[in-house]
Amino acid sequence: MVDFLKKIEVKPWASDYEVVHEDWLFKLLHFKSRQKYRIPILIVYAFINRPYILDLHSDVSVIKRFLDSGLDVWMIDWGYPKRADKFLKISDYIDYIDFCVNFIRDERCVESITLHGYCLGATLSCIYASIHPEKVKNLVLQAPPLNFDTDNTLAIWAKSIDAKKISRTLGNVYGDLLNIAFLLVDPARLILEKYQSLLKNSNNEKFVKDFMYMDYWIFDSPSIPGYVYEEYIKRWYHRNEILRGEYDVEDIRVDLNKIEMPVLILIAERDHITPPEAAIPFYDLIPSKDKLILSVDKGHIGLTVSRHAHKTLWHKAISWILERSK
Amino acid sequence: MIDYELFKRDIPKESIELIFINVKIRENLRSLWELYKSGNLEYNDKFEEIFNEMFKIFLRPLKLFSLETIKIPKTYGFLNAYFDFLRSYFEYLQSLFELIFKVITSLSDNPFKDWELYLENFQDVFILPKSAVQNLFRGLEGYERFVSKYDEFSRVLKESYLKACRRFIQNVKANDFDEFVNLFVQEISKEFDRVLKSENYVSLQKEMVESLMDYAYHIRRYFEDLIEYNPLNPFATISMIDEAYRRIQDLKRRVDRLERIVYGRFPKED
Repeated sequence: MVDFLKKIEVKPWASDYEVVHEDWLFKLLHFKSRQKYRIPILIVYAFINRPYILDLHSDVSVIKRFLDSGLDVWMIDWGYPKRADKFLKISDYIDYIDFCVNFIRDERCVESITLHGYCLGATLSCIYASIHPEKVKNLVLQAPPLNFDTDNTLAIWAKSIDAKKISRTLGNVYGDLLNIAFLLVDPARLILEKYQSLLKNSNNEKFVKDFMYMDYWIFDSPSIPGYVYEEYIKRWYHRNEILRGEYDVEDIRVDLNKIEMPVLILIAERDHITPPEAAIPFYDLIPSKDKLILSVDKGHIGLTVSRHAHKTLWHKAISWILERSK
Repeated sequence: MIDYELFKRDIPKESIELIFINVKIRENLRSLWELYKSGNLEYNDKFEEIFNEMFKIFLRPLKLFSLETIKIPKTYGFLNAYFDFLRSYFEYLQSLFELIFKVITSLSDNPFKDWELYLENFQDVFILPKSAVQNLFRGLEGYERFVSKYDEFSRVLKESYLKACRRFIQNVKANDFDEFVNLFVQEISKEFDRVLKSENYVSLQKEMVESLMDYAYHIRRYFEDLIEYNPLNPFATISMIDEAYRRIQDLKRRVDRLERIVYGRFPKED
């Protein structure tokens, strides 16, 4: 097993891209494609973990599916925050989304784009769409935490945390600590079951390789900037401000009544990080008349990288996007 | 024996550790499976070893805060006058860390008495800024709270594990080793799903984390107070650097805002 592990090379990012803009920490990426559809899609990933989960390897790459279907794909990379980034705020993330949207609109001469947010990137995308609805033609929200008042273990823990004490001590909340916290949420499955299954399948090279690609991504966790962490825990988890209509970005209120554009929500039924209840109240609340939920019987990550999700969910999701990208 | 060659490869260190942990757990599960087949399955040291392996990863964040992890290397390479100065300064800090670590690891019934003794013997309390003394004692209060909560936390985890093991021993009906492992995981999982959401566990975890953070923050501030207050000190502290970062970030925001006003792209207000 050890000898085999030594041979494994993990090379995420299955698709070619170029970095078209950098702003200290943040980057805007553009994927090379034969664009057939007029409306570009901008992917906003979470500031926890890395966005290449959507392009982990070619068998299960959502990006590749987008490119193959003729979409013009852009993505924001939030980078690996350092101590110097401790004072970033959520408003800085929203401002950078706005910069990228404007950049893409200028490059492609379009009024509005498709915004695809994933996990906490979906929260950011929803905030952005409510502030700048005129620039968002379609809103795709994948495993979106929007209602933070749920009863999954992670939410219960987050609601009890004094984030200020953590950020003043650590500066940024390190990725290593976040990794351990995520393991603790479900120790029997994530520490025991998962690795026992690896040992059981240790002669199956494909299994081990897929497993290691996943683990490589899972443990490649950037730190969360201290101030962002404080705001995220206090205003989103403790006060559930977004759903209550109380959240603001630099005094601009996030009003969900402005989410009138077409909205597609992708959820995983066994998601222990963002359970379906984190999205459904939002779906019920928004006034959009063209809205749809697609779900798959998988977990938070399986929604993106399981072959089952690719077979049953992603072609429907992509058809929905393509119909609205002409 | 760890094969360090693995660390040069793409495998995450967490995966390496979890694989090693699970290899040991699997060996113990195999022994338990043999006992089960012979009809002699009962709680024994193999179950204990599984618990210790499974939960040692929970101690990782706590180790990060240990003063042992901030020992300063004694090799400085090419020494010159400036490095000599640095060395003596680091050695001063080193001995301070060691002393503090010694006191912390041997806390008596009244840890504050130990610290009062330390202050009397090693520091002139009136030379120190008041905030240093306050931070030192707040840090110690945090540590004291942390130790008691951590003991309780470990106890809750262990009790839950014991409960799950007892249920497993009573109910297990397995035809092969894989089924045996799955049933074991299911019992543990069922119990921990309940416990980790319980009010008692959540409040315990909250108090433990908060007291650990108080300890780490105030002890760091104590050292910073010592350094910042010393006129011969050539170093900037984390807090000083943080203040510079904060100002730079604020300035960057102002520049961005001005650019947006110039280009007419500032968000519309209601």
